[in-house]
This record gives sequence, structure tokens and C-alpha cells, in this order.
Amino acid sequence: MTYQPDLRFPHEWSADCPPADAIPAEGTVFRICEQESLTVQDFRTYLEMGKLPDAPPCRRAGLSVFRKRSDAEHRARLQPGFGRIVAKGTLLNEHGVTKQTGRPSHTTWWIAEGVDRVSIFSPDGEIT
Amino acid sequence: MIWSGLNRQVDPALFSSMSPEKILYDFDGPQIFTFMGSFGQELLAYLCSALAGCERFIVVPTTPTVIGELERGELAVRDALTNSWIWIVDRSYSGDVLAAWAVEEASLPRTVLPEAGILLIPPDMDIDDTFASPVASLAESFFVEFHLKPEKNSSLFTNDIIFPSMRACTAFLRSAFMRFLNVEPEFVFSSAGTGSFVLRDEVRIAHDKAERLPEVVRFLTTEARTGPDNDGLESWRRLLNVLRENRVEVTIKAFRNTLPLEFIELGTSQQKEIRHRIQETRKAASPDQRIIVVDSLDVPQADDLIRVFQVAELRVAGCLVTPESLGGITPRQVSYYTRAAKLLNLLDEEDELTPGGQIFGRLPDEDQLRTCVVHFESSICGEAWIRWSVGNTLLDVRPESSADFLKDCSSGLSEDTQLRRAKTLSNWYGLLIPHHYARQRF
Repeated sequence: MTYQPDLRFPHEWSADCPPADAIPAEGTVFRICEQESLTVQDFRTYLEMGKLPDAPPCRRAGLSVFRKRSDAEHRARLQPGFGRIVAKGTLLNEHGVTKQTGRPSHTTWWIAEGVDRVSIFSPDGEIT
Repeated sequence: MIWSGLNRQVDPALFSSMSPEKILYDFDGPQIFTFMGSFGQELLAYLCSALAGCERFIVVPTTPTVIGELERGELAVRDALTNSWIWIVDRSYSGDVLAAWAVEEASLPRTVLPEAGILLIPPDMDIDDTFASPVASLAESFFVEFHLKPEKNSSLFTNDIIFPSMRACTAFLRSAFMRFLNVEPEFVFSSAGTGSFVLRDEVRIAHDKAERLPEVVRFLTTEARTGPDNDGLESWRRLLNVLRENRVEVTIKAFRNTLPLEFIELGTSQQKEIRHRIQETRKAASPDQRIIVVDSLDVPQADDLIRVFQVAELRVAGCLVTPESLGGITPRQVSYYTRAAKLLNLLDEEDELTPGGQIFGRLPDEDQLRTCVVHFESSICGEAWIRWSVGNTLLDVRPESSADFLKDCSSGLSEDTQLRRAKTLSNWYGLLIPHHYARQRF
């Protein structure tokens, strides 16, 4: 694993999570939220919500973000039922690790313990 | 969000195996994916909203072709979700299906479907990207879609109904291309959906001609509105006869790639109106102008003419026309005899007795035969046979000419069927001619 050794992740995660090829979190990411006033609910993983217990555990432990704003906008148009507010955040190494896990800029972010997710993000416009 | 259309609950067990087989879009978890329904049908699930403690999906039947089109960016996600019947399925966070409903597209809240035209992949995706879709390199294609659905209150939508209707639709379009552009396209099967049956064909023809597909459909739409001229009359009549016979409504849509261009709607009421206009056109044409083409549906296949009379008699008596009431024949034969009663204008297309049929059913046998001569001579097939024989009445027709007549003038009949129908015509001729009104006068 190439990320900072002092990063700590929830102890209930398996030994191989985050994956070995994940890299230190860094750079701008986007996510779609329902309202301008962002809440912790907007940044919960499937694992935290208890969704799909039979799905791959490490994937459930990560949070999806996009590297490109246009991909976030695309998601808002693809699934309008999940909000139209673009939240923009800048990840730093201490926020955890990331890995590109889908196309084209879909990235999974494994969040280090103690990170205040809401404070990292701010609303960056609404998809009209 | 208000969900008002959830009043037709279905058994949640139909979707109990709702674990993704193929994930098409993932964000936090599977959002759009395929799975196998408990009844063995491949289904497409689309996560449309989150509720307290559960997730709500739109679930529709799908096919590998549709999935391929979605993945290649050739089909908008919304179109894949609204081409067929729709279920709403609530699944708990733990994966258990809690409830399911059958719904209409119109009853869905506006915000739960993808926006129109949105593809599975973002439009500005860099083609050099590792995950790039091949769609950008594809040449333009032209498609027609045939949306078939049964008329209200009609029976099951079986293959016996779908396939003849499809053949009639493609023959109709091919003939329109011939009339309009003097070229004959190939219609190559592309994909199909279920429910209100949808079949998508690629139009294979020179590209500059394929580009004119919308014009052809627009031209047909105008013909539907104003009535076809003599050139288009027979192809319209053939199509409408098949649709009427099978009690099918159809919408024909033209597409450039996934972009809808023009469509022609042939619901029951539109079919009726066009049929009326065709009759008007036919009446206006002089006999010399009329080409002799007899559709297979207008050629009788009921050998026993007396049994055709019984159809009218039974209806006059208020009895049902059944295999038993017609003397122990098969259900298929009942449809032959009912069709023959329609050819003779004893029943109308809604299976109701015509005024002539009312009187006919009350006549004694001898008078029925005499009257039937006129009914047959004025039928499409009888009149065409007389005209083909360059005669004025059935007396001018040679009974042995029935095979040649059908060979020359019938459409949609195989050689074997032509011979069988020719035999039926000869039988009818033999029974009617001794009772011919002109013959008795001499």
C-alpha cells in the first residue's frame, strides 16, 4: 500500500481494504447532493447505511466521486431522483486513498477515520 | 415526491432474485443493472429514488440487444425503460424485495426517469479513454420501429398475430419506398421488445435513399390523412386488412440512429378512417383504372358455402357461432367461415350482421342461394374474378379459370394455398351458378 502509514481506516474493514493499488487522496472531486446545505447523509457509504450486505465488502466501504464535473452533471441527468446540486471538494492525502474504479472518471474514495467529509465539500451550482 | 400510480400490486416474488448479473452503471453501488426475473426473463433495473429504509427501482423486461445498445451509447436510458411494460420494485437495504407494482409510464413522477436522450456514458467522454465507447466511429444508421399492440378486448398477443402483422408492415413500407423513391430497401431485424410488441429494423439501402426515410413516412402520413391515390391503394388495403384481421394497432416510427424523426399511427380509429377514404377513392376510380389485386384475406377458404349461410342464420337467431353450432368443426375453421360471411357482406368487420345479412339469415335455402349470387359477384374476390374474365356477371366466368385468376391477381398466397383457394372458388361457382339470376331468366 502506497498511502501514508499513519492513515487509519475503520477496524471492521478487511485486511485487504483499501486495495493495495489505491493511491493517496488528492485533487478535486465532485458528487451530486440533494440540497445546497450539505449534510453527513450526503456522504455515507453503502457499508455505513447497511445497504447490500452481500456486495463486495471493500467496494461497499468506499464512497463514489467523480474527477470531472461533467460526469457528475451526467449522473444528475441520468438519475434525477438523487438531486441536482453539484458538490465540489478538494481531497488531500490525509483524507484517505482513492482508486479509479469505473469509467470515465468514477473514483472510489476510502475515507480515513476522523475525516469530516461535509467540511471538505461545498455546493458548486445546480444542474438545470 | 408523489407516487400516485401504485395501485396495481404484483407478487414481489417475481423479483426475488434481484441480484445484479451485469452492472451497467455503478455509483456507491449498482444503480443500473440486469438481473434474471423469477419467471426467466432478463430484466433491467434502474434505481430511481431512495425511500426510508429501502430503494425504489424501475424494472423493465430487456434483451441482450438493448443492453448492447445501452453500453455502446446507441440507446438512451429513458428509451430502454419506457419501451415496454414497467414495474416499480421496492428493495430493502438488505436486498429483500418488499413490494412491486405494475405501472404506466404516464403515472411515473417526472423526476424518476432519466432525462430524454441521456446515454449511459457521458457525451463528452474522450474517445482515447481506456473505457471509450465505439459509438463515435459508427456510421449513421436508419431504423424503423414497429410498435404493435392488440386492440382493446382482443385476445392474447400470440406469434400467429404478431408475425403476419409484421410481414404486412414491412411489405407496406417496402412498397412505399418503391412508389416514392423507386428503390426497394431491405429491412434487417435489429432488436425487439416485449409487452406492446416493438420490433426495430435497420433500413438497408443506399445512404442517400435511407436519409429520405422520414420523407417516406411523412408521405404515408399525408396519404393516411387525405386518402391514398390509386397507386398506393392496394398496399394500404393489404396492410389494413391484415391489421384488422389480427385486431392489431401499430405505430411505425422512423429513426436516425436513436433520434426519432417521423411516425405514422394506425390505431383502430385511424384504420377505420383510412379504410373509408380508400372506399371513396375506389368509388371515384373508373373500372378501367382499377388494377386487379385481391388480397389473400379476400379470397374465401371456406369450402362449404351452406355452412357460411349458417353463420348468418345463427346470428339472426341470436346464437353464438361456435365449432359445435357449425356442426363440429375446428375453431380455426370457424374463423374461415366467419371470414367468408364477411367477404359476402353478411357480417361487418366488427362481426355484426349487416342489414343484408339480417335479411339473408331469414331466407329459405333456395332464396339464400339466389341472393348469394349477388353477394358473391359484388364481393372483392367475385368482382375481380369477373373483371379478370372480362365479363359482366359470374356467367361470364369459367370455373376452371379460378387457379389462373388467383395466380394472376392474388397477393400473399403460396402456390399450394392458391390451388386450395381456387378449389374453394370452383366449389362456390358450381353451387351458385344454377341459381344465377340472369340464367334463370332465359
